[in-house]
Amino acid sequence: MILARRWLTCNSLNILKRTFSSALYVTGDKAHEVFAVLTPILDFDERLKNKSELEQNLKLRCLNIDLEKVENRWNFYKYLDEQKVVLEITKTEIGKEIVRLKASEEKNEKVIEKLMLHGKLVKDDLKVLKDYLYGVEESAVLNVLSIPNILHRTTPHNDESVIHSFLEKPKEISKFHLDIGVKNNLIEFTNPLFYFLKDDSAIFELLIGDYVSNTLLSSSFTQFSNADFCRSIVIEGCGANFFDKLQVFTLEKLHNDNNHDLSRLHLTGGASLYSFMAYFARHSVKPSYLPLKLFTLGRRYQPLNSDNTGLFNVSQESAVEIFLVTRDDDELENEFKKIIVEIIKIHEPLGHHFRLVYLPANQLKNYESLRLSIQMFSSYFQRYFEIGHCSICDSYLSKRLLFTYPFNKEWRYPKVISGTLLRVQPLLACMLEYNDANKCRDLLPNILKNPV
Amino acid sequence: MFTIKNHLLFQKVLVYDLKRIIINSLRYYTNPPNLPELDLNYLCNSNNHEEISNNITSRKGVGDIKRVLNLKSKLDTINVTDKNYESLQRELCTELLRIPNRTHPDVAALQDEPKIIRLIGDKKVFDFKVREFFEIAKRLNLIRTEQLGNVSGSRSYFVLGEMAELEQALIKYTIEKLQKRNFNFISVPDILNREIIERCGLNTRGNRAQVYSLEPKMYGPDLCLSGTSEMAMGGYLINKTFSVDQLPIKFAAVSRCYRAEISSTAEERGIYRVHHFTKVEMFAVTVPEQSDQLLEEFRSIEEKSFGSLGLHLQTLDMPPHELGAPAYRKYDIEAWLPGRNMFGEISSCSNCTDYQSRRLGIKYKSNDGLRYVHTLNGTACAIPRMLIALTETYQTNKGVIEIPEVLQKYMSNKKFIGKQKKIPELKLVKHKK
Repeated sequence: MILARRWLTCNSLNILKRTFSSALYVTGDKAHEVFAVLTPILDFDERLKNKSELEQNLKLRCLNIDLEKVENRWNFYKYLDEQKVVLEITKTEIGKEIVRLKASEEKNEKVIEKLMLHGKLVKDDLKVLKDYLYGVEESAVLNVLSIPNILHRTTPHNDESVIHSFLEKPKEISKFHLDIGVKNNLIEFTNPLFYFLKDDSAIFELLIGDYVSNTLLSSSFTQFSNADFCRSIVIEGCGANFFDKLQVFTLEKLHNDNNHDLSRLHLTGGASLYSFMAYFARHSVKPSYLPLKLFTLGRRYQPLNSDNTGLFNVSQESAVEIFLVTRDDDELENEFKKIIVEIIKIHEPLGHHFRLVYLPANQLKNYESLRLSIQMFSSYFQRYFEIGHCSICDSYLSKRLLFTYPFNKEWRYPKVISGTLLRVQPLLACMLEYNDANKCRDLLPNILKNPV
Repeated sequence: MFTIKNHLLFQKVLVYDLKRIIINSLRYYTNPPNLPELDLNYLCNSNNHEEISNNITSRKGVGDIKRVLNLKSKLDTINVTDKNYESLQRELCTELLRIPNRTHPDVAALQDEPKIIRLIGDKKVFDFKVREFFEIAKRLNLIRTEQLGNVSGSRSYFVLGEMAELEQALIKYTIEKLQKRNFNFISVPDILNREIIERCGLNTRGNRAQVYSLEPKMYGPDLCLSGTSEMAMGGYLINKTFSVDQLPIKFAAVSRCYRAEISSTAEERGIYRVHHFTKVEMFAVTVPEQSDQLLEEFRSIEEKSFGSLGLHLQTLDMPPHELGAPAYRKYDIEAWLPGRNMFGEISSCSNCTDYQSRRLGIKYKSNDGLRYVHTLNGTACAIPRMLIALTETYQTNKGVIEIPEVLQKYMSNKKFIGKQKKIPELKLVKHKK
């Protein structure tokens, strides 16, 4: 025990260097500085039961994660945690014994003294172990949290897989949509952060959002109008790095904001997965409400490096975001199939070529199990761009952000489908290019002029 | 595979790319003029000292005209080549920018209280105990504000189900009204350069600033969130020059607005004052001679639009100290909120004359050469306050909310908003290790 204590004391020096790194998982030693909003559910042991699947998953996603190292660290943490429990029990038992002896008639001072010394040693050990454990716990848990979602059996291993295509791919080559937009007084573009849509293109933005909303309402979706800000915990919970300025916008702290740096505000826009997850994080719903089919029409903000693709990649988009909550695999699959029908129902009446593609594992985000990409062809760039997507997230997000439903007196974690059924700006870019190639001046398809 | 067709395509793409990069690099820096061309003949004329000083006092605004005149006379005495000339000039400019706009003579005559200039509709009489928005919305599961501080920030809110549909219906209703009045629609950025916001007359720094900024260590010191699309539209018009026959031009934008203001007063509970909301905004540029008339048009659009929704309204001519720095005249429109038993501001419109155009370099070609346009702005529909006013006005004794007739067609002809049965009640999970 003493040897172990020395070893722990030496190693515990490292703890002093430990910096704050996670908003999602806050260890006990930091809890006085950062409010631990929730504790994520870690299902790593369960994932390890099918280790070869997990190894294959990491390989297919091209992730540089050393699973052995993660597992060793995790097991070491669990071992130390067990030791902690043993010491805690020992400490309690010694305490009880001392109380019992003191109350007894014999009052064997020697034994009591010996026990008190033992108790003190155990207490010291426990303190040293706890201090050390926090560091191990954090690194082990953060490693585990970096493990991606399971892969859906449909996710292609290497190449994308086209599952639906509408109309022929345009053969004509067009001018660049920004040049078309400027020439026709429809766009004024300074950079991806500062641009204006004018006249018909501004009307297009309003009408198409409305059209998609109406279609979803007629398919029993429920409309939400979401908050635009999220705290760091939600960003991390959804698998993104909130310290990375290219992943999410961070707001400057206001003078009266006393929150810790791990609880910053981020500008995401309401039409984002983040916003929906903020709504449901650390809450439970009654299973009778499931499946839940929600959508929102709003803004989405995404920091970008200028890539000169114009409206295909801008920092501010108008979008229609969906969020479905299902109970089990059957319900998940069933709803996903319905969404594909819905996507086709939305895009075909617009009268443009599009295709639906399952993206290969190496193009998936950590939270995704399967990603269906809605793509249109740019007549200028002569390649496909994503104008929307729909992803199976399974229970990855709900476990991380503690979104649950009760089932037979235990908590279950709903399976989530998330997606952006419409990204107005890339769609507009394609439409401008198609119109230019086909010498068509009318930007608004009839379906928008006479909405359903 | 390399084919001639591919090669030609590549060349074509390359030419466009180069052209675009050149154009973009030219376009990248759309900054307001370095030194705003303020009306120095008026501001630096000592004969106007008293008038300007009185104006500042009555507006309870910042600005020190005495200091302006001192700096100007100092500047006049030294040579342009003097080493202090530039810094003195900058100092004068800073002081000049702090001087508020002039005030409309009718407004200047007002004391501290606004003048009610119009009443529309009557207070609705209820034969049951009326409730406040928040109570009604909570009961029908139309809004969520609780337990959001740790996940989406303080005073966050989600609008749910048919209340979200009502929000969209209001936007559509407003857009249609503005389309009929020949507004030019524009979709605007919500993240703006600090300079644009300041040139529009809003302070972005300091403890009392109402403006959110992006983290300076990540994005530089100058990116802010727009508080109203008026600023983005001002930014859009930077350094633009119009011909007389183009004017007036009326713009409209639907945007998200971000305001860092905090409030703890009881009147502003619920979603009365929030950090983010959707707004349809009107903006116009005009020749100076027509700006007074255009302000009346904006006021009339607002009154008619809100009046058609069946709200009881009062229009106020706001006194000098309520104008802020840019406005020459400002009308506020207040709606009667039966649940709160008070009038609450739902909209305003302002004539900023040449205050913003001089700072942003927006001009027109007149017979006498280039002159500055006048700018105006007005709220066509600010969502949260409208939801409050409609909910409280159209509450029924059965507990549901009646949808105003003019909005029903935008909501699949629904007539009432009732309990949102498809939206689950949430229960907080307190899972700790």
